[in-house]
Amino acid sequence: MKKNNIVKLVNCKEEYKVKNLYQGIHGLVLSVKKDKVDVLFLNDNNVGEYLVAIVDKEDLIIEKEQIPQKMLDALDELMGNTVSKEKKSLSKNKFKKGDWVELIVEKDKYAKDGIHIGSQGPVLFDYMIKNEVLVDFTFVDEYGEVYGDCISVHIDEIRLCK
Amino acid sequence: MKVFDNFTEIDGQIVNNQWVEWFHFMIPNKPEWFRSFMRNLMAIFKHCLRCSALDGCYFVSWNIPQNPVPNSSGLLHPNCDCELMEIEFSKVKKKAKAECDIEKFSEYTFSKERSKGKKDLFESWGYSINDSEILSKEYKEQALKQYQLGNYKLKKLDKYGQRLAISITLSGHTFYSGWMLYPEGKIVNTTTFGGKINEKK
Repeated sequence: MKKNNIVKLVNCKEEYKVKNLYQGIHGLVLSVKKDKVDVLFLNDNNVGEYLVAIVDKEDLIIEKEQIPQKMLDALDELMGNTVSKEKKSLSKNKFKKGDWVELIVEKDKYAKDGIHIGSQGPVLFDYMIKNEVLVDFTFVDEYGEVYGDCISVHIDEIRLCK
Repeated sequence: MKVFDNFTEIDGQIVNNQWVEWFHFMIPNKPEWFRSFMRNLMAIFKHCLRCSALDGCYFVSWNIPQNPVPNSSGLLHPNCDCELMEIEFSKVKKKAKAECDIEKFSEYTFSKERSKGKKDLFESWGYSINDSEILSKEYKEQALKQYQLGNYKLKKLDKYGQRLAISITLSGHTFYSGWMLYPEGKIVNTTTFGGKINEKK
């Protein structure tokens, strides 16, 4: 195992779970020190989110896929400036595909698509992008006219309906 | 490639059916986890998530997402480094596929509590919850055919990807359905009813 390998976590110990790392999460090896590996984990469940964590080498497997060399060249430079090691844990998605949710805020960015506080609809995918989920807020009136849209909303701005 | 491969008949007219694949560097189409991994990595470095969502998607050449800034360089936004690559229609025909969960009908469209107006509409056309499987199959077949003919409307584009409105005809009623476009011509139904065709807004 060496720097820039893409790895998969295959043994998710309790100490990793408290950081919300999960079985199967992929990461990029930043450095290797004896049996410990410094990994940049990328959250599949929330695109745009990452966590740098030290894990045991034995808990990882190396994937055959590789990052192209020209990106690796740029990566080193960017890594020092862009990647923060401060984050303590990954976020978890409160919602899953098919959950019925309701908008709990009134905002212009939603109103312009005809979506207002109280609008309801199903979550369309299991994953988030930058803490937002995609929800189908379309509805049809008695004349067959459609209002609303499928839009992404922040998870703190919706609630799960029973 | 045969000379006429990229021409097809739409509504009785022969049209150019040249297709293009959206290309954002370093985002692979497959495997899915690696695509997600690279999109994620690029996002850390502030690459546009709309562009990386479009990578690998197939569009007919006369119906592609446009840069809303006139006379700007870049396909989608200033300094956009995406490109379009011409692909043969035969590739689209071979790879494109449509997905529409049965639950779209059984759990939502025909649900008493969750149809949001769609149940009455579909029932007035003679369909019931028992037709969920048939409708799912019908949607997949019709939408795939229309998409391959380039008969789609570009709708919202955001970090989740490009939404398409594709016409469906049921019992003589023609209307739009909503779809999400994925790499290699995969379209996934997002909403079963997106408005009557030619309706006045």
